[in-house]
Amino acid sequence: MASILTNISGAWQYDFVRTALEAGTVCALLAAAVGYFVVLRQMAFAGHALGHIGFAGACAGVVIGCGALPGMLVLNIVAAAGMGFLGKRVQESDLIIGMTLAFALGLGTFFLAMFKGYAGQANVILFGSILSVSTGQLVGMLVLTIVGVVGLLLLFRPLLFATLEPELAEAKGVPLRLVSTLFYMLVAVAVAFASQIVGVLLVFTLLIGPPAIALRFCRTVWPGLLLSVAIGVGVTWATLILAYITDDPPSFWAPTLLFGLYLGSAALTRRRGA
Amino acid sequence: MTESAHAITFKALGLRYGDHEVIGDFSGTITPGEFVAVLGPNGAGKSTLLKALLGILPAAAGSIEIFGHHPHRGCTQIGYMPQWRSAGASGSLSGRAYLLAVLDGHRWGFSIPNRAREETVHQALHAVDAESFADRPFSVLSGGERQRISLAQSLLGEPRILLLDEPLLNLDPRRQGELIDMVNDIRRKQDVTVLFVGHDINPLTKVVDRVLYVAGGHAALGTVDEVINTEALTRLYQTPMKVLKIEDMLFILAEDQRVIEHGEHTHQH
Repeated sequence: MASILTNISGAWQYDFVRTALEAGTVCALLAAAVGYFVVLRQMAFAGHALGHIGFAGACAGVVIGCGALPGMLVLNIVAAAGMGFLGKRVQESDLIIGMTLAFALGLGTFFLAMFKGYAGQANVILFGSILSVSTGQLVGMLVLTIVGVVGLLLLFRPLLFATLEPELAEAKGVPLRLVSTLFYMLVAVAVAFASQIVGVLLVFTLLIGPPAIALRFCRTVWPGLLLSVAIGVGVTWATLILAYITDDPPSFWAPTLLFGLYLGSAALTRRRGA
Repeated sequence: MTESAHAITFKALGLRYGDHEVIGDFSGTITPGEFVAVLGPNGAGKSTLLKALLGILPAAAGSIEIFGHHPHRGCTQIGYMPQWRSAGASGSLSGRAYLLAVLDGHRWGFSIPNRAREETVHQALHAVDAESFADRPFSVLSGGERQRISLAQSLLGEPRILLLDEPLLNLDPRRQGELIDMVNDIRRKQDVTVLFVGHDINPLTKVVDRVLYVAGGHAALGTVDEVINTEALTRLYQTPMKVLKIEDMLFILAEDQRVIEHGEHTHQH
């Protein structure tokens, strides 16, 4: 045990480890907060699709030379605006989302083929590279996360209202399409960031996992949201520490921990009869 | 500000849903405090009429006035209980959380829990006697309990008109009776006008003042006896109809003698 602690404190001396922890915290926080509404709105599949669209964006970014994250952010936000604009019928269509998702993956592969370091880049984009986040990237992420959190707080009430009771919200004057479009954009940013930790293939786990667990315990919104964020951040720390100790990739630990927690919470709440 | 003596005024109202005329040239007034049953077959335009009252759907012809003003979204005079739908993932939230979300959901930004909001929600829950199950997840509530939470929601903000869209759906006869009594009780205590959408007049006969019947592209407003009789309904449906009365129960039959009240059998022949 003592050697593990020495190990971790040793790790703390490295800048890249500290940057990774800070970036991970920021990403997980936004993903868990936005994810809470994603789960409530039952748009998990759309969130998943945004991850794959992000893959195309990231690959395009690499080819153009502006980097994976900016490329991903731009294409994700454009796609999110499109999804929000096209409205409910498209957003709830598994077929349309599924087809778009597959097309985006194909497009990403096309861009990657144009790039020389094919395998390495693909691996980084698909499975994340939290340990290679630079200080400059971290500052950018921090700024966008603050923008994202502020955006979520501004949207909070109409978003929740539109989620729980869309017809009534419309009657009370909530601009449903605007709220939904803005929210999709927040999801786009959260997905792009979360994919830095676990990659686009596993974005789902950080977006859906923490709120899914929190919703099993919390019957009211604020406690649920805060628990979701706590779980997301906690799991990300545990992931990075475990990845450091065991030398297994973070993309293994994050979904494994969340899956375990989810099973545990399901068993626990089931026994309570909730 | 002109305050009309009428809660709702329909002036030669025409409503369209897509290219389908739902209501044509309908005039009438509803007095404050009235209990009006809104009846008619599925798809005849009951929900369309509610949408027009809520200001979501503009009138194709004529006009509606609510206490002398045109309907508009965000009208605080109206409380609205939407039709039953499955709760989905939000079913893990409690009824109280749901009411808190509805309370000021039309405003931007966020709100943190405070005494005044809790109290408003408490009063609405109290009015429908829902305190005992208001903290349990929505998904584990019975149909009757869910409808009471939904009714409590419509009371937030002390509206003067309640628009209740099919509140009896998915309720057994006993729960139907309980809910109707509850609505009637609220109407008397809070002096609100009630528009109660339903399929069947019979559970409502005892409490309603008048009936607004929508069918065949037209609407008729009057007492139960005035509207639900063979001549009046034949005129409305524009096809021969028959109304039978058996021990105070009214049965509406189409030409082919099928009972078309009680919901499911809706298309006309």
